[in-house]
Amino acid sequence: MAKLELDIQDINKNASENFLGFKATSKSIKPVHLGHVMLTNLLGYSYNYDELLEFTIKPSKKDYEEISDEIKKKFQSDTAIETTQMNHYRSLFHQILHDDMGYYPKSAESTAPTFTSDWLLNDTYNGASVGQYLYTLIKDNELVEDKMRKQLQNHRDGMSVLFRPFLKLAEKESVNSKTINSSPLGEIFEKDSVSEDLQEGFHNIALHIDDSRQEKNLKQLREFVKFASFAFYCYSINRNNELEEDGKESKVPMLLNYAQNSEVIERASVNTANLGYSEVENGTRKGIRNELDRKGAKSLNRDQIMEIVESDKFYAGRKRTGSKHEDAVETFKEMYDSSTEEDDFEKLVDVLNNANHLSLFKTYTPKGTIKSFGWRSGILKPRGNTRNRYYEPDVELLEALILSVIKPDQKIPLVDLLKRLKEKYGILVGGTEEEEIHLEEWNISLGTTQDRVDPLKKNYDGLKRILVDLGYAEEYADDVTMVKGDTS
Amino acid sequence: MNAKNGISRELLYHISQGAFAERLSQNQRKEIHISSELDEFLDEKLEEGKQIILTGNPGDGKTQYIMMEKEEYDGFFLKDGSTWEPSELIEEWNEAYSENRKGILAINDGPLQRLINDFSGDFEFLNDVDHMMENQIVMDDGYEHPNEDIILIDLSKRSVLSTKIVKQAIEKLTTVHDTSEEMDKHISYNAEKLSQEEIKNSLSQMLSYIGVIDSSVTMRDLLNFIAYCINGGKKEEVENFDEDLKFYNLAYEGRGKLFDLFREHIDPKVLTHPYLDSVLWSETEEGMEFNDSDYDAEQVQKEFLRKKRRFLFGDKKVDEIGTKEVYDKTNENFLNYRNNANLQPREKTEQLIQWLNSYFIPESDMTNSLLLWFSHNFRSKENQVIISREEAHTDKFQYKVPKLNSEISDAITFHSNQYVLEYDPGQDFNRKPKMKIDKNLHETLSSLDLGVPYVMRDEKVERKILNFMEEIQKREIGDETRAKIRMKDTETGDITKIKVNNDEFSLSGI
Repeated sequence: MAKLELDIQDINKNASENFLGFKATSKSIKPVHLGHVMLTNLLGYSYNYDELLEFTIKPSKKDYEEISDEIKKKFQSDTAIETTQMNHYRSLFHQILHDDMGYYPKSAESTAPTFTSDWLLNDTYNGASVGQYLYTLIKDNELVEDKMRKQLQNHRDGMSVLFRPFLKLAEKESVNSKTINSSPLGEIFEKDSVSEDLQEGFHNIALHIDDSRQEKNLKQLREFVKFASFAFYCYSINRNNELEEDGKESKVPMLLNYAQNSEVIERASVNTANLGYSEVENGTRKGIRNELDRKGAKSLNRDQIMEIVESDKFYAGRKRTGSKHEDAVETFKEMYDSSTEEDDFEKLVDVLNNANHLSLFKTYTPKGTIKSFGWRSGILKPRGNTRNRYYEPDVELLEALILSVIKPDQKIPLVDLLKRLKEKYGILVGGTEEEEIHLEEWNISLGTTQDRVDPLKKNYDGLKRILVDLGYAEEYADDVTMVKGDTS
Repeated sequence: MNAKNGISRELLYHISQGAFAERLSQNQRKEIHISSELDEFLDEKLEEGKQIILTGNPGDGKTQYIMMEKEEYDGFFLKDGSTWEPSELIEEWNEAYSENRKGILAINDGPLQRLINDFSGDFEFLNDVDHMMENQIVMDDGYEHPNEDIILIDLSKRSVLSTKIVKQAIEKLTTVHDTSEEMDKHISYNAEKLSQEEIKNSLSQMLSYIGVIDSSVTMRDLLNFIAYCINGGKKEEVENFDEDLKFYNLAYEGRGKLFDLFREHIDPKVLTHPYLDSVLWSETEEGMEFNDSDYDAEQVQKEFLRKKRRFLFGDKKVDEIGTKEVYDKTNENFLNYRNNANLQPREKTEQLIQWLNSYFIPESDMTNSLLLWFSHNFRSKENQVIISREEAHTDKFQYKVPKLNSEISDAITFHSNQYVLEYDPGQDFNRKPKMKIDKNLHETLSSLDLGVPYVMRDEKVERKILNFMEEIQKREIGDETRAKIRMKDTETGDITKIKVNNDEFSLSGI
């Protein structure tokens, strides 16, 4: 057979694709990236905004004097503008576009400015395949497409007008919309899959979006993108269970922490977050196995594997020479020999899976992606000074979640809302006995019996308080709380 | 004490323990009944043959009213709707409704909501009930009542802590027939003291002050509080009682919602008043006659606080200071603004617009239009720069105070603990963005001219204002080609302007 290559980074990326259907191997994915990719796919075009990029390069990197005359001409009748004054404007413009921490005008391909309309949408490289999955969720929904198109093609908002001189005449470039329906491990949109629930969630959110070319609603645009971020996270942590032959009926739990100062809930919420990461890791392992199988590694024995590792067919961190490469080879061998798996192929899977998490191999795994994306997108919050994080969605994400399960003009009891969140996304808060059963099913413990009852009630009350403050819920006697799909 | 008139010590005891109306005899109910416009309203509507739904929280007085009216009228009277199996209740109710039987249904608002949620698909009239429930409080005239046969009154909206109700409650509960005229017994002493005009007024004022802050106190909470202030939760008189059993101390000791509010908002330690405090402190020190060596600050403070409680209750006078001066400063500011009849709604609107403008531009005194600011990112973090491009003319805003809908405006007294700035450009759309302004937000806005640095401002308040502005903005955006834009650096507070004129910028003339 042809000599097999072991490129750890490629295997990792392909494993992600095999598992999720897309590459989730970037630590820099932010919600704004997903918004760009999903919506350029939806519209089928993006704008070339080179002039804005040139103008907003940080003055420290490119002085105003160096900027082309074409751009300078945009400042009508202001021939005597001082450089410092102009640089001040450039910095402000840059900051506005960088408020999502994704705007790097020197690198147009990966830059992702905060956007309010299609004028600023970029066909970005970052998060490209994740965004394609999200686009697949919405692509057949005419309501979503129609409303988002109307909102994005409306340029009446303050930001679009502010940048209008740079954008109005910008060239439109077509984008080939790409979808992701399956991965080598299976279909994504099977019946009762989380992807189906997320599709419905997008539809419900679209029901709330203003159907008007006149009114521009930036909050709704933000909620739409926030929900897309959640969709990526929720799908990723649930995919492994869906691929299991005897997977659990229930979704991977996400216990939200709204109980003020409750050690029990906070710890259990952290545990559910860790469980989600484990699921992603286990799914990635499936992807690795699939990838190695595809490469024909099943027939390899230890000696053949070691021969590859010692040869120039072993790529670790893109370094094939030098001491780092030698360190990698040595580490690989040690890991292989200490693996508790009996079968050589399983040992290889084991080592590649574990190697993914070592800095020596310079990989970035789906688990790492999900972990950092979780807090960047406002789903998770850090617990004290530790690296642990618990689930506490930020306000706009929480609003998006509510709108994704309650239609406009609907009014439902809070317990029904929680039931929907549990069934569709695995989100748990408290208030009924079902949360405990769900958590136990996934081996998440809440501690002693005494500890268990009160914190969940406290958690439920905490969420209730927030919903009342936001105007979505109203409390009534006998512990009845009704939640509406709007705050008017 | 008025011998043989009024309530018994035993009834007072039950009330101080939080008695339920259904456990009282009809006579007892009459003895403690606080008459109000609701009695007349119910009589009138029952005469007209209407079906009345009394809803609200437990303790709001629903049972009290239903038991009183039931004696006088025949019809459909159901006092404990909350305890019924919902499917049985709706059958029973539907039957009475179909037969046009007048009467009263008393049901807590939670079970009523559940009933509407579960059965409105099958019983059309429940949709009307839902509409009435949703529109108990309105902003405008023009409420359209959906069903002529049914009236719904949510008693949780009733301002129980109005001075009129509180005074009546004090009068009812201090009229205890089996007390003595001797002042060495605690119930007799407290009842006598609280019935004194000065003390009754002071207590009413304090409770009314609390009512502005929290409107969820029930009639049962109020009666329980006053009864406990009289008897300390004891059935029998205690002779030669000590300070702990005096009304001004008992008010801080009981358990329940109103006690919690009282402790929180009428705390003599927190409510400082330099002149009053110095007078009371000196008086306390003098009264205790310490030598330099045995001065006990803790003792002095204890006695000082006791004196201050007495002062707050009107049981001790200090020249030139009224009791309200000590606690009512913030409410006064809010209430004076809300109730100031000399200031027209238009003037109030302009004032609010000026405050909101000066939130972002401290030196602004602009009243004719509101500058609309917005921030935008997908991280839900604070923005480095916020932007403004639009202004909305003041004519499009209205100062409003929430009120009862016209159908029930004569039934109960309602005092809103907030007012509203509403955006209404006069076009036909369902949702009119509103900013609800309560006492705290009023304080924040009205004190902006004191020069609070922008970076020191409360993020939540700013979020609330920006949300309101964003809602307006989406309707105000007109020209997409021209605008004068302000960019505010949220760290420095500096504002930079630029003009967009179609495809060009201009930095002059701004």
